[in-house]
Amino acid sequence: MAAKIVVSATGTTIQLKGVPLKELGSYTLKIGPAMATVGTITGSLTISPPKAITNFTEK
Amino acid sequence: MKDPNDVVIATVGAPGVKKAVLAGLVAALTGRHRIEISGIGGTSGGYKLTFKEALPKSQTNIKIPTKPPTAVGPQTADFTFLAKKGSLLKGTISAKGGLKELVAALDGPRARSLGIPTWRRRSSCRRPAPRSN
Repeated sequence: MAAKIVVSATGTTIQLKGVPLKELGSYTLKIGPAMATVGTITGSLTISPPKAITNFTEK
Repeated sequence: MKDPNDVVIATVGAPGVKKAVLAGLVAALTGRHRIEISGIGGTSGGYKLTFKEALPKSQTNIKIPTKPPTAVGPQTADFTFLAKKGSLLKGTISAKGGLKELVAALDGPRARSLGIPTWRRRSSCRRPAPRSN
């Protein structure tokens, strides 16, 4: 089944401010030029899993 | 503890021992794991389960390589990662060199609605002022 685009954005700097990943699975972030230009990119991404899954106590 | 194939990957406990600790267990497979808790020697009663999971860095942090630089154009630079349901993706990607503008697209695992994104656009491109006649 084809992948679904979750988010798309354009700009010289793209900020992802807490994009919710609503399903378990594999995601691919694709960064490309908006115009016929070539260059490099910098940056970093953080994926924060919900605390209720990674750290919990059951009584 | 059982892996996604229902294979027991760890077991702990002994008669008379009230605290069973599974520590430093490395999950070799991705998927749903199951922890089964039972009494020993015909005993029963309440219990307290504390669970902590430490994800590998590849699943929590993606740093875009600069040595060598990550090139974009005409091809895209693709970053694939696994995520749990309910995770949040944050980060910043900036263009360098001759790149005038970037396009970012995030593909999800299934062709089903995955929600409204939260992102902010920053661009150095300015619209030209309207011409006066």
